[in-house]
Amino acid sequence: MPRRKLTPLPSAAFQILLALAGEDMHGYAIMRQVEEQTAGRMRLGPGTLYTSLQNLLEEGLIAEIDARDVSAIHHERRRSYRLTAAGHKVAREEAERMAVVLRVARARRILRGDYV
Amino acid sequence: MSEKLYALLLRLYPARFRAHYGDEALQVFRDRMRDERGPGARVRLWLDVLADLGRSLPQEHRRAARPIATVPLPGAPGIPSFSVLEDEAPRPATFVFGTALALAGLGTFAFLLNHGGNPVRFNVVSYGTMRAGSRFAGTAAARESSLAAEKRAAGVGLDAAEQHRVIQAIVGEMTGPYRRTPGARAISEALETREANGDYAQIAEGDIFASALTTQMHAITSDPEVSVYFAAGAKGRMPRGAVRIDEHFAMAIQEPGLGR
Repeated sequence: MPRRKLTPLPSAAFQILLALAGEDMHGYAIMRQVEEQTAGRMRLGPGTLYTSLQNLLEEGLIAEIDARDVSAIHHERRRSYRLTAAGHKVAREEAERMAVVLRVARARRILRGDYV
Repeated sequence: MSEKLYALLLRLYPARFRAHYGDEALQVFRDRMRDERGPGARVRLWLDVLADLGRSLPQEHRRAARPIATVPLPGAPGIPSFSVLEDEAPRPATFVFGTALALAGLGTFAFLLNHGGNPVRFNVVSYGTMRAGSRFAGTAAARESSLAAEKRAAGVGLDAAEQHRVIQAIVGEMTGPYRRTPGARAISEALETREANGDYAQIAEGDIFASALTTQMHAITSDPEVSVYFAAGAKGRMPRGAVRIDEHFAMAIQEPGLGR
């Protein structure tokens, strides 16, 4: 099997996939969602954001859709992004991998019960 | 002032990145400037920007330095593929595994050829209770036909044959006057290779297929106009200037000679 460019999946790419699992979003909305879901621990800058989006697009894990941002003053056209079936599968596999790590960490008493 | 400074910093990125994402990166920066007010927030924003440049600039320059076509030219000296393997002699089990894998691959290929590239369908209808000509059989056939038509109209029923037609039509567009455009040949090779590798096999939606093709072409060519469009239904409206290449798909390319 050819090695994919996103193997292992970088954390920024994983967080973007998780953000898009809820709904289609444009770049800034993704950035805000990632910041929220990581409790502020990950703030993607524009460069990292669009580099990650380009990698995910090239791997077919997300798709680009044109959308007009009606909330913006100038009604500018922004590209929005949608999770593909392949992206959903990769995100699920990564989450399962992390769940295994979490179970081991709990068993070895590295983590206490304050982590769900 | 901050926005102008960030616009200058964006010039550090490769031209292809700026052409594709420059405006949106600037818009994202503008949005953050609007939402994060106060001296502390602004300092944090600029620290984020500098860290972001440090992380993403090397990646984008590596991407820009990547060769467009990976097919070696005839007669050109290349690096032997096996130089990446260890110098250790292969074990006997390797040959057994390789033979089994090759046989499985050939068997799958022969099976697919036998089915004309169409997905295999297992009929779950019991012929004992539903004979040809019965009113149930007629109703079921009509319903199946109607569902298939609805799926095709919605782009859900996109099949390998239509994907192949679209890719071949794009390859056709890459010839003629457009063939002199940088990347035209590489686009044809890249799309046909991806199709042969089965990269599109999981895509059943027309809009996602069009988006994937567009993204892959943008990664190769400097033509910002090149795009594939999808419209549900045979009479779906396509953007002005786009050439219809299939029942549901159209394509736009920049007129040769107008490139940047």
